Amino acid sequence: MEAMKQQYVSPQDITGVDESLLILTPLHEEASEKIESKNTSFWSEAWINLRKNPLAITGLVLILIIVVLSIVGPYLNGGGDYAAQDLMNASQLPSAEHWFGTDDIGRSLWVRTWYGARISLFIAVVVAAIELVIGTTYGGVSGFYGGTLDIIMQRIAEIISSIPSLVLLTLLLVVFKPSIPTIIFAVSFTSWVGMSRVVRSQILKYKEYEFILAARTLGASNARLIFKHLVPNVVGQLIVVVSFSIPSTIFFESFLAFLGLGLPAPTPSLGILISDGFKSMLLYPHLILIPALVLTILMISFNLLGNGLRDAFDPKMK
Amino acid sequence: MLKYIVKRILIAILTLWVIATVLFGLLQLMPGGICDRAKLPAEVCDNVEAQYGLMDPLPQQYARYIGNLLQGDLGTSLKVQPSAPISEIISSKIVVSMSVGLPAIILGVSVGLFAGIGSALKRGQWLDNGITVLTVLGIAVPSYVFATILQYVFAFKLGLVPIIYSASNMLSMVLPVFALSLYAISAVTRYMRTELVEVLGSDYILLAQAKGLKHNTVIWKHAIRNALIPVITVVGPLSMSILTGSLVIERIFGIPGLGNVLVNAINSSDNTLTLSLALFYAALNIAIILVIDVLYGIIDPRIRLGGGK
Amino acid sequence: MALLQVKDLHISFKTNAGEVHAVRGVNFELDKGETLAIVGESGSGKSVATRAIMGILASNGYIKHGEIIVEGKDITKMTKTELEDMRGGEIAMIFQDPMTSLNPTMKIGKQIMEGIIKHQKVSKEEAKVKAIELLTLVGITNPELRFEQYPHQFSGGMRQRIVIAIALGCNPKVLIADEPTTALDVTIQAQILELMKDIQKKTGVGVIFITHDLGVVANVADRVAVMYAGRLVEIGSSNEVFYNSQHPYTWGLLASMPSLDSDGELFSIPGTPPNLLYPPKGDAFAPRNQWALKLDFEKQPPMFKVSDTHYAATWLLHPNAPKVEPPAIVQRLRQSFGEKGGVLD
Repeated sequence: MEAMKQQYVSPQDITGVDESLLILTPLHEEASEKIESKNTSFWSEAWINLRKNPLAITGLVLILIIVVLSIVGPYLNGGGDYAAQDLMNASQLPSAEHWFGTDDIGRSLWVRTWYGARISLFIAVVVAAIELVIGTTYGGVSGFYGGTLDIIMQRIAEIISSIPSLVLLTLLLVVFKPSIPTIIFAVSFTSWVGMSRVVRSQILKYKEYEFILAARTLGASNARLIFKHLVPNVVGQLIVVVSFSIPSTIFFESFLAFLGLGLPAPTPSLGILISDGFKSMLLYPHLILIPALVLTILMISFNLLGNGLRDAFDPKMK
Repeated sequence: MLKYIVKRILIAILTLWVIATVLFGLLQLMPGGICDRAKLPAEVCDNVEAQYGLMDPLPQQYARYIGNLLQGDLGTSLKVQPSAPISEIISSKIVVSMSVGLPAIILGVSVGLFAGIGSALKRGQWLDNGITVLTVLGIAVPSYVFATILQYVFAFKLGLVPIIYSASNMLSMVLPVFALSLYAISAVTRYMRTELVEVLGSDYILLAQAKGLKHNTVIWKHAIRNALIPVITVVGPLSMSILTGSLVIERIFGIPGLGNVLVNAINSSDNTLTLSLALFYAALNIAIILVIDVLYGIIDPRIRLGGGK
Repeated sequence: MALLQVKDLHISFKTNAGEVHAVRGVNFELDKGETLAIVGESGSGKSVATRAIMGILASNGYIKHGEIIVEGKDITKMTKTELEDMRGGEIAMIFQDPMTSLNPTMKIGKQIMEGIIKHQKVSKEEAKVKAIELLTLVGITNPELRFEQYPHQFSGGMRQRIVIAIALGCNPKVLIADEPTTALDVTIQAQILELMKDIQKKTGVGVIFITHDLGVVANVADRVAVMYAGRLVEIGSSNEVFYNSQHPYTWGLLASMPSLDSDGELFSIPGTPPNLLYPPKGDAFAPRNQWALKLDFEKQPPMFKVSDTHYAATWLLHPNAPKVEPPAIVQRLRQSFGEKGGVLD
């Protein structure tokens, strides 16, 4: 107790204080009311978080480079025609004339790689778009209306998601030939379920929040509520799901191609190039190495970006 | 608890029935049927189809199809192994696939758990960062790219292990098992880390510490136990992805497993075999999910005893 | 000799944005059988300070300066093993949210026994007997049956009783209750407060009661410490802090407390607490203080002595400071303090 007392001062003992400052100062309302919270919006805050993550930014830059190359790349070298054969110059190593070399029937690997990347990306983006539309609608409706409808819709989703996409694709291949639409259909048929679950759980979370109740009392219609008020709150989560869906579609396509169930020749995709390269791997390793490298970089970049986005939208998960 | 299990089983049966019915529908849609009418006289075809019961009205065919399924009769292969019963093909090939798949799952889960625990306990330190980089690679890089690299380096260049699988040589299994388990290792690691980090931040861990329990007791008895429960749920999808992944791995290492049969069936348009295999894969997936769900219910008292969230 | 002494405690957190000075020089002590309430709004550092006392700060937090002395030993200098023995045994803790503070997959009996076995050094059988006694003590009926149940089979109030039983099982000398009733219904709150008072009477444990609710304080505390922006601004007996408060922040808290006899107009303190990344140099409350002196912005006021047990950190207590008129409610309270001689009714 004695030791503690030294911390305290009797009013009479105080010295060395500028007593001229012992005057009241009026309260500056605006100064004290100035709220210190960040004025940054949801988006700019997420962007600021993302910018701090060098891995995610690296991923983003690499993705952009690959996207640009997949659009303009084929015309920079090798003539731009992925099917053009030059049998005189077959199976060449990379050179000034053919930047990535040529395959066994003399097609430019540079052109085919970037054209293949274009097709792989195209399939993935379309699948992601389908997923978004179906998943958001389904999850939104299911979560918003709840009750029996929710139970039934969740059962259906459960059944659909327990069918492996491989099985589904196998079934489709029995009826149709492999093509871009077949692959898109097979992948998106089951993959929207994950998206709808995210939307549903977010909707359930936000449903009882006050601003929704407020909008309701103001007489907003249900459809308006779902799309104007709830969905924007879910968008962050959706971006994260999409950033993981794209690489998994790219992977699935290349996986099918590797099994010989991919797109028909001569259309290239990254998977087809790898599959073709595998056959002559021991003689011409560059034929598998280059497309595999592009695919790997693309996959890693999307994963890094996805992880970064997840942390950016939900900093506490870090 | 009983109610929970019964409900899970009913859902599994329902799912399986839906898939079987879709398959039956596809069989009807198949171009050409089992008899090529362009090459064979109509009479012969009629005879063949009558023999297989294909002239019967649809409901009757459907009933027979479901009845056969219930008895485990999946029909016969037409092209890949002509007139071999499909159930026999499956049971003989699944053994080969399992001999690679099971070790891969066990390896994946056990290594993944340890890596995830280590990563979560050393959060933000070099071990965690190192493991995180490796898991990103493991998840992002396709297993067949890994497999090809492994095969090129260790089998072809260094000659440490055989290039091609052979049932008699255990060493030939090393690369396929390892290539197959990489994804599982990474996925389990990441999941375990996330769960454990979340549990470590929870109030009951704080309370366990506040009780004065030893650090190790807090970690093992309170944190890891609770983090492990949800990890069980990833084992289901993981087993399926390993099964799927084995398709490419079997091709790369020349393993005569079930994946190989499926690829052959599709490529040679052996539709009965393809559809039956699809049904088998779906059933396997559903069975795994069912087992995991029930297991989860048994382990988690909140489900076992009901009433909790 | 006080049971627990906290001397000039400074705690900081390392964040991406920089060092957050969460606690900036806190002094207090706790005697045997006494209840000290620490009052303050969220972010005032009250929870951080008590977590430091338990040695369970978040991993980015650290004690920058100061001493925490329990039974003559300084916690800040303890080894890991010493800390483990101290936690529970010397100081036990009850947390805010009973819904999340129990391990969901462990039977509650086992959770109570763990602490008993560790600190009372008894066999499993004895620990079980003691655990069941504790369950009875905290008012759980059918303790033998409940012993075997899991947390999800209990209501929130029941769970908080179990958390209290866990804390008591360790035989602590000090019990820290971090907003133990905030997450509970009002009727349950009263029951838990009654229970805690009762237990203190029976066991003589010293209690630190953290809350943002002055109403709860009046009910349970012998002494009250008011905390703002990482510092104590006023400390004294309950009567002194209620009926003779000196710091304008305490005035604000008293005036914003809803009560049945208030004249209907509820006061609220303008503005928000300062950002402790950049602690202000004077009294942190000055920018929100209607009675702020120029000096409050320039220089940190010392703890002025009001009575032997009552201290407050405001330049208004300087002998030459202008006399100010506190809010009506505080004046009324002061009046009754004079009349009743400081007896709380």
